[in-house]
Amino acid sequence: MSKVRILHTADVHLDTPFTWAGHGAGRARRQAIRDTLRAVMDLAVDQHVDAVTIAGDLYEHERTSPDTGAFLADALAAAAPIPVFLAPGNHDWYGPSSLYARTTWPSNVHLFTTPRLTPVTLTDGFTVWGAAHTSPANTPGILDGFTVDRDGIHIGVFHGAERSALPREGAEKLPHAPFHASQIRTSGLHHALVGHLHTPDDATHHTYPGNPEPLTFGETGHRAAVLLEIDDHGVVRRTRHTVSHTVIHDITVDITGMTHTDAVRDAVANRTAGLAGVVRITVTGEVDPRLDVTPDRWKPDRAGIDALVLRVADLRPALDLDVIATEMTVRGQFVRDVLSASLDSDLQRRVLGTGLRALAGDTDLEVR
Amino acid sequence: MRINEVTAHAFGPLTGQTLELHDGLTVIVGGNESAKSSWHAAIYSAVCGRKRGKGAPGAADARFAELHRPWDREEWKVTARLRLDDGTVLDVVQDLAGKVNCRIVEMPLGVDRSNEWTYDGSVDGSRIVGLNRKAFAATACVAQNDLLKILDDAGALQEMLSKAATSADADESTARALALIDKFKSEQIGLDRSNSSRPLRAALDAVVATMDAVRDARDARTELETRFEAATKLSDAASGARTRHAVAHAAALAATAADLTDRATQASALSAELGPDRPTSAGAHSGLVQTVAQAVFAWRSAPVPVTPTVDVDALRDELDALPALPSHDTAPAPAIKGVADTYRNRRSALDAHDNRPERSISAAHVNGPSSQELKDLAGALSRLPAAAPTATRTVTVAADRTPGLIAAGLGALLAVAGLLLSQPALLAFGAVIAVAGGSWAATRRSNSATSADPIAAKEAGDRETARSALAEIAQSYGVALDIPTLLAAITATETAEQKLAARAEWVEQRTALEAEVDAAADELARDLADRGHRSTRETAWDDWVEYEKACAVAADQQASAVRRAELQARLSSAEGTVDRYNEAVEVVAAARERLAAAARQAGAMLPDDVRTLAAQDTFDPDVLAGALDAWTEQVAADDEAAAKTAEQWTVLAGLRGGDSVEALNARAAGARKAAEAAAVGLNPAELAASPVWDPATVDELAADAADAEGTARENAGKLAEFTLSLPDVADAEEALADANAELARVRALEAVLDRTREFMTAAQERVHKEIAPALQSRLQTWLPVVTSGRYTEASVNPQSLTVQVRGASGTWRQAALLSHGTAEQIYLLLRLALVEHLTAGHDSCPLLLDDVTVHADTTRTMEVLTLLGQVAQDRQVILLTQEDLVADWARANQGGAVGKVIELDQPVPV
Repeated sequence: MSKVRILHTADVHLDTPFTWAGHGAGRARRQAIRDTLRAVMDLAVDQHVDAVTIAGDLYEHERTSPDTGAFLADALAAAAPIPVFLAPGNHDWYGPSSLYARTTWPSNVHLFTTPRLTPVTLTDGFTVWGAAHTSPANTPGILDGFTVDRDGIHIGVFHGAERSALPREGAEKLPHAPFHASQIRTSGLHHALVGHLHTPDDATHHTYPGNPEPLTFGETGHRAAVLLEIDDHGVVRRTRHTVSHTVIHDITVDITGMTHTDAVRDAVANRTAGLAGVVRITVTGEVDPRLDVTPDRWKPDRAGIDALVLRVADLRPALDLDVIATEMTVRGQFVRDVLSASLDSDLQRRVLGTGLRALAGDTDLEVR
Repeated sequence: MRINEVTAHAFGPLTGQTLELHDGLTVIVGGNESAKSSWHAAIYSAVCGRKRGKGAPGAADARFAELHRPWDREEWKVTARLRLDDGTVLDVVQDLAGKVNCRIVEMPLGVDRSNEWTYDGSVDGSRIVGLNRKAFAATACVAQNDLLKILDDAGALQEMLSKAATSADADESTARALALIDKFKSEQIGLDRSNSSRPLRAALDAVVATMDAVRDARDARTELETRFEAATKLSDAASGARTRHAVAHAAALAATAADLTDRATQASALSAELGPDRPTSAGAHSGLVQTVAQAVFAWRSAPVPVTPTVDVDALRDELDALPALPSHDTAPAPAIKGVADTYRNRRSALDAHDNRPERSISAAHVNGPSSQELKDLAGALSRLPAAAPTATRTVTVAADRTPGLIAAGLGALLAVAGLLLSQPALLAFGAVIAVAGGSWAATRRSNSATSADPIAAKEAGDRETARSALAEIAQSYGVALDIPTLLAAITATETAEQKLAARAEWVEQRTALEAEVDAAADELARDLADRGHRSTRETAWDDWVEYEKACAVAADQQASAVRRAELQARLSSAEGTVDRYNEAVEVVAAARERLAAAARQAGAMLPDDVRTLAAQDTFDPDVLAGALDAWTEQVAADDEAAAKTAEQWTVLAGLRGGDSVEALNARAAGARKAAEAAAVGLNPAELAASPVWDPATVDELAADAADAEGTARENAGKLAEFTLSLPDVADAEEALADANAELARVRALEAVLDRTREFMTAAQERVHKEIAPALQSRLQTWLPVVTSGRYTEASVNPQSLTVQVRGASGTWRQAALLSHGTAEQIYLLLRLALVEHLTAGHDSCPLLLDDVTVHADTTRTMEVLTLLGQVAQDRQVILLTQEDLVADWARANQGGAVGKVIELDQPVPV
């Protein structure tokens, strides 16, 4: 048996909202996810793979757009005759009225519809076992009590949380269909192509590809479509292929010492010049609280930028407040009181800025 | 801090001029056009510089530039040398035009210390004393105009204090800041009221609206799923209906194909059998055959003439001889017969009564004594005492005789019973027994009597007497006087008496019977009469007997008369037989002729022998009928064969249905093909199990399928339309996130404003509490000096910073409401006090005063100057004046209270 080549992806999250991107930019992000899925299919064709596996969270059930089904059918048909195995996850759980059930799938798509692993012979002696979540929660461990019942090479495709890796995902990640890595071999599977954990993980016997298209900032690891070559002993060799065209820029601009908004704008412009993709700009530093750092005042030119997130974080009052604090005036007393109060730095900065602006007679008292 | 010197490199009308100032009180004297005010501004600018910031300058700044920027050159520059309280010397350069080349350099080291004392973007030497250029102007730098403002506005003093307390800045006040916060909060947050249009309400509304939008979008997804399920059901229903129709249609086509195939097969076979030509029609001779058959039938059904056997005439004679029916009863009427029977029974009873023996009993038997008389006699006789010798003996005798007496008694009784019962045997036996018993007893008695004693004798005598009497009676009766005889007589008499009684009874009964007989006779007579029987006899019975006889006669007559009907029937039957015979003869003849006629009609169609037979006059009808029968059967057989062929032809025509056999075969092949095509994709088992529906049902199924498909199609269209109209959940959620972010921003801003207000209010209260006593203390010190003791006490309200003073009268008075001069003095004192308070902890702050006594009278001017001289001992005081009085005082006190007097004598060229 020659090596079997499988292109694996998961956690595509079509139709997911991008609340951080703001109303409007989210649409571009969702379009980018679609583009990425098409790129996966193109990659499958280019790489002449034997199958494509998508281990859940292909879309988000409660947010599917009117044409998501048609898009998916077209996108997956583009890889035909390469079989595409769909193993629904907790976000795209299979049900009689789910998008999976409502969509007329092309003939190369095989949809797993039960929480129990069921076999499909990909080639002689090579079996793909797949399972589906059939509800948004409470799906038990898919490997619990499972063992293969035939000879050959066995690959599992499902959506589940490998317990030891779960803490890396943070508290928000729930242990849907949990399993232990050790269960893969004891069940008779040679490798599990899984989804759910967005952090990429090329473990010995299982592979989390990670979300192929960035979903938020701060994502780590090489999130990609994973091309696996599986030999006749079940040994896999993995190659990660970036399929997203989105570039994420997470930029921090220190505006310490800047005394006016123009300086801030200039600094931001310098740091973001020529950037494209998704950009998050965080303005931080130590400045006079009266400095207006409202993002509208310093947001850069959006040319070439798909999504722009502006925020002010960890901005601290400038040290020259100490001088004011020496005044024997209400202003000095105010500054002394605020500085000595147990306020978090942001609130302290904003209260100081607001008060000093009010004392100075400014009419715009909102300090961002 | 001291300002040692100031050089106006280019400032207003001043160019390259320097003033060296005293550390104490420097009085700069200058009249009009002496550039006194320019120097006041130049000194201020040399120390404090100008604001350096982007954007248009404020009105005050613009006004300052308008007044003091050199109009004939670009340069606008002043410098100053400062000496701090610790001896540090600082050179200040204020490039007022470009505001770039400004610096504070420590001398002689040349260290640029500008960064330590900057404000609003440029160096500010007033920072050294804890103020800034605004605060310095508001406190330490007093211009003539400031005094004028105080004098013009009673509230200005309090406002000045408030601003100074806030930031020592002439433009800043806590009250205004708080008002700005409130206004900003009102405008940028607003109240959480439904009718508010402010950001908070708008943000809340936006959150609610976007939440609704998210919910609607999600509900739409749920609705989509529900609709999809409904559409799926409708689609399934349509598919089912379509399948049902397809199966029915295919089954119908299969049936049609089978039928056509069968027809084609049959038609092919029939066509091969019948050939191409249409067969002759059967029944061509049916009319003749029918005529012949009817003639044969008529012959066969013709009656056989039966010759009559009854003599009709004899029957008629016999009938004529019959009597008429009797008019008399042919049998006794039952009622009369009943009465006759009654009469006969009663007559028989009477006759039987007459035959009874009582009728023959004679009355002679009852002429003697009655039985009772005899019984009495016998009784008396028996009671006669018997003669006996002794009692014992008598007893014995009596005893001996008793059996005889008893036997006699019993015999008598038996005899009587036999008499009564008319039993002669019993009577005789009783009499014998009585006689025997009486005899034996008489014997014994006579024996005893012979042996009687005297008493017995007497008794015997009495007895004899009695006996004699009895004997006479007996005699009269004609009977012997002894018991047996008497007994026998009694018996006989009683028997006779009984017979007589029986006869009497018989007679009585007969009389009754006779009456009954008579009554029955009368009734019988009446009934017979009523029946019409005339009485011709002596008795009714005889009439009855005659009536019975008449009835018998009538019965006999009736019996004869009754035969009339029978004879008439027999006659009628005989006459009918004759008639039928005659008729049958006629029918037979007609049938024979009909046979012949039929044969003639058949003519040549008949076989020769039959035709010959029929031509004979004497032909045997039965033979001819048989021949004709055979002929008709042959014709019928021929017709049947032809009819069968015709029927097959008709069947063939029906099978062809207007087509040729070849066309029919082609149609069958086409139908089979259509059926096979219709069966494609259908479940063979379901198709095989399907009944063959009639076309109407198939059409109904087709209509049902069309309806179901139409409904499913319509629903699918609506579903597609609904799907396309689905709101975007992600969009809605992002909008909600934006709305929540905006609400959070507003809420956070609200919190910041609230906290700011809290802090600021608290700071204000605290500062006022601190500054008020300080100001009050300083006023307390200086006020008596400058008011020549007129006012000795001062009070500063920590809340409102209002100032009150009072003198010897003890009445508190608002400082702002005092005379101009006093107000000026108090204002100046407050400025001094503020400088002291606000710069506490810093270098001493110079005072830069311009014509601060211009409105004061001489006395108060002197008092103020004296005060300034005292103040100048602790801090530098620079007093610019145009007043001669002040100039004179300065000159007079130079070297004393006044450190230096600078005369600006030469008007500065403009």
